[in-house]
Amino acid sequence: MDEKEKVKQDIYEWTAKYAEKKGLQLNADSEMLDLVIEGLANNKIKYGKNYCPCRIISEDDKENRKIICPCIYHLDEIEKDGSCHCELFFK
Amino acid sequence: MGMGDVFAKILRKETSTEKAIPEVEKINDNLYKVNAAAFDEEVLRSELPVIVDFFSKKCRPCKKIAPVFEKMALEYEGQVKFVKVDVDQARDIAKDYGLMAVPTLMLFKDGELQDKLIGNMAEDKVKSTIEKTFGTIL
Repeated sequence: MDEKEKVKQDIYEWTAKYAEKKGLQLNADSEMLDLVIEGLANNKIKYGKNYCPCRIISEDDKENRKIICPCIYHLDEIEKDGSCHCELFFK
Repeated sequence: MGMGDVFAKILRKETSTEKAIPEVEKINDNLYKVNAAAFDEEVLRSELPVIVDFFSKKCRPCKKIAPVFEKMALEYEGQVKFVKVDVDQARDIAKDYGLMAVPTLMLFKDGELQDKLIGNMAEDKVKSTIEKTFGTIL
């Protein structure tokens, strides 16, 4: 398994555990799920953090902390829209 | 945009490492993918009102809205110009317009930002915003 696949596997595992703990579901479409996890893995490899792939990384570390998955917005978005913005977690 | 923003924009342009050569890729008869260097000419100086899809290749909702945007571009041909900008290649523009998430659709008229829609939204919502903002009716 190459580095990226290993990172993706780790992300899949912790997101699945997090979803279970919070009573959420991961995206049931495996292709869509893989795309989000790949975006997270790219950011983890490039920046060292699991930044949300659908948010803009700035030069402000304080602001960037807000978009580390699971981001500070996800629970409100799930409540309002049924899923988080990047469609990783669902109600 | 205040004076501070204008100076920041000028400074960023002078120090930017983004491509200085304008690139415009035609996706269909009314949809163009442009790089940062082509943004001013293709969007801000456009004679037609413009709707810009700021996207990232690694974002799932961006992929979802892409075919809808492509289809709408043809429907509004001659009335509204449709443009796509990859934010990973246009960080300075993303900063200039305070972009927080992708996809974000921004509506420009005469070089000014008029309205924006954030996230993956329904086609009807995009159309009603275009019509409200530009007074365009299909």
